[in-house]
Amino acid sequence: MEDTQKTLDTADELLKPLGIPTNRPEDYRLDASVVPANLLEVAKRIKEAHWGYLSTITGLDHPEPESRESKDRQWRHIQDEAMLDDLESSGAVEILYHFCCGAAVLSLRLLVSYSHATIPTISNLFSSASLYEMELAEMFGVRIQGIPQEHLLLPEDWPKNVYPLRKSFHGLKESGRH
Amino acid sequence: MNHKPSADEKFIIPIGPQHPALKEPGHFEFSVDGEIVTGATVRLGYAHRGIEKATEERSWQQNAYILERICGICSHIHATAYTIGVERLAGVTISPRANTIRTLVAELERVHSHMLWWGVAAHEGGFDTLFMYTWRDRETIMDILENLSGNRVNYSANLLGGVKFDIDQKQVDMIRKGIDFLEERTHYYYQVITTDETFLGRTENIGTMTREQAESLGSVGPTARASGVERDIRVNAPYAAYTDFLIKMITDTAGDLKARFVVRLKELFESYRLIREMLDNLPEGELVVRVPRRIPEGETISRVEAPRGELFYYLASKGGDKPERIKVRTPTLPNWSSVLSVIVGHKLADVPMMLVGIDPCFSCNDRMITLQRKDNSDVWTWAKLRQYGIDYYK
Repeated sequence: MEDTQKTLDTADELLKPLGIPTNRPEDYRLDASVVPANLLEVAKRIKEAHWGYLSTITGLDHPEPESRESKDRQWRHIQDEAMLDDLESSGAVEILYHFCCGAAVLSLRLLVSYSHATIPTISNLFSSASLYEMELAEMFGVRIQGIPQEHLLLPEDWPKNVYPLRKSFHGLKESGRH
Repeated sequence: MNHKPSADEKFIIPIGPQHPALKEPGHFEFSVDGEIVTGATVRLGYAHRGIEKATEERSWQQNAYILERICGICSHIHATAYTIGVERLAGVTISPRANTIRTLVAELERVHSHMLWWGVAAHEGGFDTLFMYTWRDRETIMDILENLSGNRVNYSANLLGGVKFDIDQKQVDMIRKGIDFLEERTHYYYQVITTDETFLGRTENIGTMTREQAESLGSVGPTARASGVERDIRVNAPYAAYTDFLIKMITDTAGDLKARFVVRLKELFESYRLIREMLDNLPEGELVVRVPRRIPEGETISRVEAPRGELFYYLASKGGDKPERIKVRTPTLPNWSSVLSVIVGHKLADVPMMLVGIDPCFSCNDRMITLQRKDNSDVWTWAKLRQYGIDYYK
């Protein structure tokens, strides 16, 4: 456990010079909030420091909140005013890049609104990322620059702009395919 | 008259989704220059069932059953990763006895999974006698699992808050007897795979992956350990009863197919030792503790060592009786990139052995990936190839 704390401290120090806000939700985890503009810089730093390996990328859907309170709670950690306006009008996808080193898990958390869901690929730094990114693009409708924009996991005749892991998806029938 | 193909003309060999050399649905395209593979792509997704989405519409308890059915070989480890995560979110600590039984079944499962794998690998290598021997012996472990749980594959040993069945003295004796027999057989198999000349011809110095490659490609499990990467969640981040019953990490430095056999077989001796140790020291305790129907709001990450490597679960709850999100990343997925990267430069005949060398599990990982070819060679469509043939023979 002591080693895990040290490993997390190393990650924390790695991210500090870049001004990345971090917190520890559990004793073996470190969360860091990144934005599309500094994602590559942060990923590069992790790679150059040989801090662990990319374990996977998780997507989370945050549909447009229904009430004012839930809005405040859902977006409480967002500082950027323009980003907040954007989120209020459309809902968002949160992307978690999980890096593992021993028992320690570092998750880079990136939030993008549906209307501005474009991020760069990190597959030039971590080649295994391309498979996770392709899955993310197809399941959540995040556009990832630098990877093939084609059907990956879903059938070739899957309708456009239908993203199955978004909360609004309840099967193809309802979305008007049949 | 003489047509000498220029360097950028390649022949594409498609394999799958239905193919005699691969028993599971994956589609591969290998571009070859004579016998030598120059590029590889894979398209998966033929067994995609949308399980992650399905979990969002089922209760926490029901999900234990659906997640166990992600894989028909390492079913127990999926349920283990899930239940450990849910119990952590709920703040529940299960009894030492339940924890040990959970771990015991996981090790029994590893034995059956590894035996199944090297039977399949032997078959791909044209060594069908070894295939039949291992699958016959594997029945020992299947009988043990059936006796304990009533099932051969989906044992449903895990419940949220514990395990479903206890182990009595008669069963302890039966497991011990089975393990003694399997240990003796494993010694024999170890000798076969390290000395049989024809088999070594298919495995030695084939598919070699360096430590640096394994590390940067994010390989996991025996595939990574065979290249000297010390990655075993049971040791790196002990969970369940691995905190009390310590396991030794097995690594090899060769990084070739033979090393992947050696690592898996040596690992079995560790599993046998650990199973005996757990049977000798089965702690007392309740089988199940109560877990609330609604799981408190929060998120957690649960990582366990499946027979094929690190299995990663991300769980999020919004405080309801159904999960907000469950993300599963199975070990086969990161291992694909290792095999498709090192396959370039090998003979086409080595392809089935190399594919099987990572112990791929399609139903586990089913997704699709495309790997970029080494060069920018043109991929020909069927129409273009046909036209080329017509023009050539005109």
